Amino acid sequence: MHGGGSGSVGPDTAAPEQGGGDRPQEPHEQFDAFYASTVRWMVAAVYPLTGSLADAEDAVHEAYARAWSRWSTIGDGADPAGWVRVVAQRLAVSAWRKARNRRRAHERSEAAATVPGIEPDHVALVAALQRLPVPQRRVIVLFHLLDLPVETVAREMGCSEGAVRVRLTRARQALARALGNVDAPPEAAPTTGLEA
Amino acid sequence: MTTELDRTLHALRDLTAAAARPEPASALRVRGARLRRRRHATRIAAAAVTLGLLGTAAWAWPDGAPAQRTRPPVGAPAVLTGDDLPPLRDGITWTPRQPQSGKAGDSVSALAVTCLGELIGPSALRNPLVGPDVPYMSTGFDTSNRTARGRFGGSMVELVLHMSDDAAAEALVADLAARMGDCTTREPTFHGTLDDRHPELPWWSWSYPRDPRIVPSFDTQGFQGFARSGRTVVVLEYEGTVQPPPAFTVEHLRTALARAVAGG
Repeated sequence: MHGGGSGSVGPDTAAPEQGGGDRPQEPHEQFDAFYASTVRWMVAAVYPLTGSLADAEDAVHEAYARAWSRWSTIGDGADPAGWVRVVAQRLAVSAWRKARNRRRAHERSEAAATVPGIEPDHVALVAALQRLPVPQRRVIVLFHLLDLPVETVAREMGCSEGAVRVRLTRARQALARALGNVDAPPEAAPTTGLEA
Repeated sequence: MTTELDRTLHALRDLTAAAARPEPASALRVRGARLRRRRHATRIAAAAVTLGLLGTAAWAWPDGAPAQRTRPPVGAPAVLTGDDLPPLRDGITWTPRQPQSGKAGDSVSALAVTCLGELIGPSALRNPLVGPDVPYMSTGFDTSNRTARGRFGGSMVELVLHMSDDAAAEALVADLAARMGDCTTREPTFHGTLDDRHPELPWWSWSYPRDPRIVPSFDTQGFQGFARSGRTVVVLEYEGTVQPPPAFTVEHLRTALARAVAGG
C-alpha cells in the first residue's frame, strides 16, 4: 500500500504528457493538464500540515506558479508532482510557522472545520497533527496520506530513511496519545524503524 | 493504530480534495511568468557582480597559502564522480543523483545523514550556523538496486557549502563533528567509530543495527565525514545495506574537499 511512485499524488496523477491527439501539446497545455489532474490532491496533501484549507490552497497555488516559472525543466522531469508537492509543503510550513504564534489553538480547530463534511475524528486528527513538530507532521502526510514509500519520503525530506522511521514512530506515538489510543507504545519505545 | 490512521487520513484527503477551490491555471501561469522575469533580472545582476569580483579578487586559498588566480581546468569536476567511488560487488552499480544547488534557505532537500538528519537536514541546512543565504551544492550516487521498498541498497551524498568566512566554516565543521559524536547518546543502538588520525578531517564509520521489534528495518552501515578549507565546507556520507559496505575512506573526503576548493 505504501508502494506508490514518487510522483504519486492521487488517483488522477500523471506526469504531463509530451504529446496527445494529433499534435504535441504546447507547454501551457501540458501545464494546464498537469494542474487540473493534480491540484486537488496537492491541496489535500498540504491541508494536514496547515490545518487551514485557505492556507493550503495559497501554498499550493504559489507552488504551481513557481513550477510554471521553470516549466521548461520541471515539465520535462520525471516527477513534476513531487517537485510541486515539496515546494507547496515547504511554503505551507513556512507560512504556518509565521502564523503559529498569532493563532490560538481553538482558531486552528475552527479552521480545520472549513472543509465541508469533515467529521469530528478528522477535526481531532488535524488538531493533533498541528501539535506535532513539522518534520513529524510531514512524514505522516507523505507516508500515510500519500502512501509514498520510505525511500521517497526520505529523499523528499532530505533526510535518511532511518530518520524517516524515527519520525514515523514518534509521530504515531504522539498521535495515539493525543487521540486517546490506549494501545499506543510508550514514548521510550525503539525508534529506528517502521512499526509493524 | 496505523490502519486506523491510514483510514482516517485517506478519508480526510478525499474530503479535502473535493472541497479544494483551485484558481484557474491561466492565473497561475501569469504569476509564474512574473516570477521568471524577476528571477532572470536577478541573475543578470548577480552575474555582473560576479564578473566584477573576478576581475579584482584572487581566489581565496586557506591556511595562509599564497593566493592564486588559477582556475580549475575547464571540465574538471568540482565534486566526486563515479570514477572516484569504491567498487561495488557484481551486479550493483552507482547511479548519479540529480544535483541540487542554490541558497540554503531555498533548499527543499539536500542531504541524508543518519542520526544527524534531524539536525542538519533541509535539511542540511537547518543547522543554525548555516544561514539562508549560504550557497550549497548537493550531489550523490545511489546503488542501482535501490528500487524496491524493503531492499534499500546504499546512497552516497556529498554536500558543499560556501560559508561567509573561514571562521564560520570552522565553527560549522566543529558543530557537525560534535553532533555526530553525540549520536551514540541520542540513538543508543547507533555505533560510530571516529578515525582521529586526521584531526582536520573527522571521519566516522558507523553501524545502525536492525531492531528486531520493528518490521521492516535494516542493518545499515555507513561513513560520515566533515572537512573544510577556507570558507568551503564538505559533508560526505554513505549509508546503506550493501554487504560488504563500499570501501569509502577518509581519502574520499580529502578528494572531495580538494575538488570543492578548486571548483570555487
